[in-house]
Parts: sequence; structure tokens; C-alpha cells
Amino acid sequence: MIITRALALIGLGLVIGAADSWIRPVQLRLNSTPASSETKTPAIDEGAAAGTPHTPVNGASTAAGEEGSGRAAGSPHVLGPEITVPQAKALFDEGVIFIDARIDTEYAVDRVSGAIHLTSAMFSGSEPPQALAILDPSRPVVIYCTGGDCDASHAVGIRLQQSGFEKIHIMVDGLPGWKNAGYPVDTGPVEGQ
Amino acid sequence: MATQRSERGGFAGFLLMVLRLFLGGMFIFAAGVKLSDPQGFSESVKAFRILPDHLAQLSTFAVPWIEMLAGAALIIGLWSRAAALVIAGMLAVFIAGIASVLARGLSVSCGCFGKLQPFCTGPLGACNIIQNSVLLVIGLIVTSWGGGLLSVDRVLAGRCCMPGRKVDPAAAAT
Repeated sequence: MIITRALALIGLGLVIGAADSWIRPVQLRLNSTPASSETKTPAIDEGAAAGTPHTPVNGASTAAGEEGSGRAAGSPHVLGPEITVPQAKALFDEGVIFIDARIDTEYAVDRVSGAIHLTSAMFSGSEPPQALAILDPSRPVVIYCTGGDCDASHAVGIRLQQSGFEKIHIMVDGLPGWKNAGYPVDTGPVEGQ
Repeated sequence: MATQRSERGGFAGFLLMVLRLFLGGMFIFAAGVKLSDPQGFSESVKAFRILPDHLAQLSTFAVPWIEMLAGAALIIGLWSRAAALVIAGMLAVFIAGIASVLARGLSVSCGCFGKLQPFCTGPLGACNIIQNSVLLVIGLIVTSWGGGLLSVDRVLAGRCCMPGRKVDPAAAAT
């Protein structure tokens, strides 16, 4: 009788859970970027030459302006959701905002120069994350975590996609790949983060 | 014997009631947190890298709903032993999943209580296995000895045991 009742509880939970998942499905993967929202960027070699120096976090609006000037100088090609470190560097040189999806303690140690901190957990509260206030959904963003098996950047990408962001890129090799390439990083805690 | 178990009173009954309410409360709380942010819980399920997407989608909702139902059953003391068995089974699966994550060296947050981490902080580790093992022991105790005092099971058992009436062992055992 105990087993029967236990199975009844599980069965009822499965039925309700299946109905709930049908009513409000979750997004498990970053949707493929439609052609209209893909980011065009200068070719990598040209990007480094044509780009302007990257502006740190607080200069988000300035950085967006720089992006425009950088793109105009290069012959554009299309980027998908997942990008390599050199492709990310080309966007970095254009002033595209980088988002660090790792946990607080990792972000406090080192990060891509000027990257803002935004984790999936920050979307769980009743209020949207503060970082969203300085981000423009129409502009591209590059998200990274620790590379390899790390899912944090994809999780943040899904959250941003649900918040209306269209040009989302994941730097698949993460911060380790960025540092191995010798690209700029900031170290130490960020004031106010 | 079975009747004695379901009607256990006194201090033992009180202790069983405390354990039952604690376990039920924990799982209702955990289920509520997960159901309030299914996207967040789905990330935890996916990060374990055990289930394919379609099962991860179902688990994102089925796991908290089973937790909610079993927790609610424990709180009111209806089908206490069956509900505790369900929870014990889930905890055993969770422990196996955590061990699998640790064996593969993945850095994953628990997702047990959503973004809240009341007992274990940081990525999954031995603390989570200990936490779930303690809850598993509590579940097995309630499964073995029933829900104790102030439970619907006890009321139902009392109704069946009026003077002059025979006890149905099968019903009393649950």
C-alpha cells in the first residue's frame, strides 16, 4: 500500500509538472540568432587596426558610439551566437560591452577589461538586475565565463534573450582563452560591485 | 505491529511529528522556490549534464511538483509514510546526481533551494551530500515509523479503531 501511494504521488506530480511545463516552458538553449539580428563586425585583422581603444564599464554610451566608428572602417562579416576569442577581441576593440557571468568571487579576482558582472541568479529577484540599466538591448554583448564545461554564459544569454536582447555572443573559450591570448584584463575588486 | 507504528504516540510520536513537519516544510519551501523561478532551476538541471533536453524540461517542473505534493502530504500527515518514501527516493537520486557531478569535476551550483543556499554555500560539494544524507535519514525514519502525532493518518487510524471494531492492518500500515 505504501508503494502504491508513493507511486500515486509521483504520478500526480508528473502529470501536474508536465502540464506546467506545457503552460510555461523554460528555454534551455540560446536561440539561434536570426539573420536580422546577427552582428556584423570587421574582419579580425582589420578589426584590430580599425577599432578604437575599449572604454570601461561606465562609458557604455561612449562605447556604443565607438562601435559604430569601428564597424564603418572594416568589411563586415556575420557572427553567430558562439564566437572565438579573436572574434571577441574584434568586438572588444569596437567597444562592445563584455559581460562576466562567473560568480562574484571569481569576478573580483580578474575579468576582461571593463567587463560588467551579471549572473543568471541576478535575474531571480523581483527586480531586474541593475546591470540591465546600462545595457542597450539593440547593441551586441559578449558574455563569457570560465570556458569548457561552464554553462553560466549561456544561462545569462538566455536571460538576456528573454529580456529583449538580440545580438548575444558567447565567447566559448571564456576568460582563460582571453588571458592565454594576452588580451587586456582588470584585476582586483570593482568598487560598487 | 503495523497498527502500533501508525498510532505511535508519546514522546516518540512527538519526535516523529517534528521530523515529519521539518521534512515537509523543507520540501514545500524548496519546491516553492523552484516553481517561482523555473528558468533558474532548469539551468541547474542542465548543468548536471545528465538529462537530455526534453527530460530536463519535464524535470524542471515535475521534480518541484512532486516535492510540493509529498511535502504537503507530510505537513498534514496524510499518507505520511508514502510521502516520506517518495522524498527519500528523490534524495537518493539527488545524492547520486551530486556524486556524479563531483566525480566529473563539474562546477555546478546546487539549485536545491533556488538561488538560496541555507545550509551549503558555493558550488556543489561534500556539504550537499551530507545535507541530503541527513534529510534522507529523516525520510527513512518517517517511512519506517509513520508521521507521529497530529496527523491525518492518526485520525484515520483512530476512526478505524473504535471499540468493538477490527483494525484493517493494510490500512493502518499506511
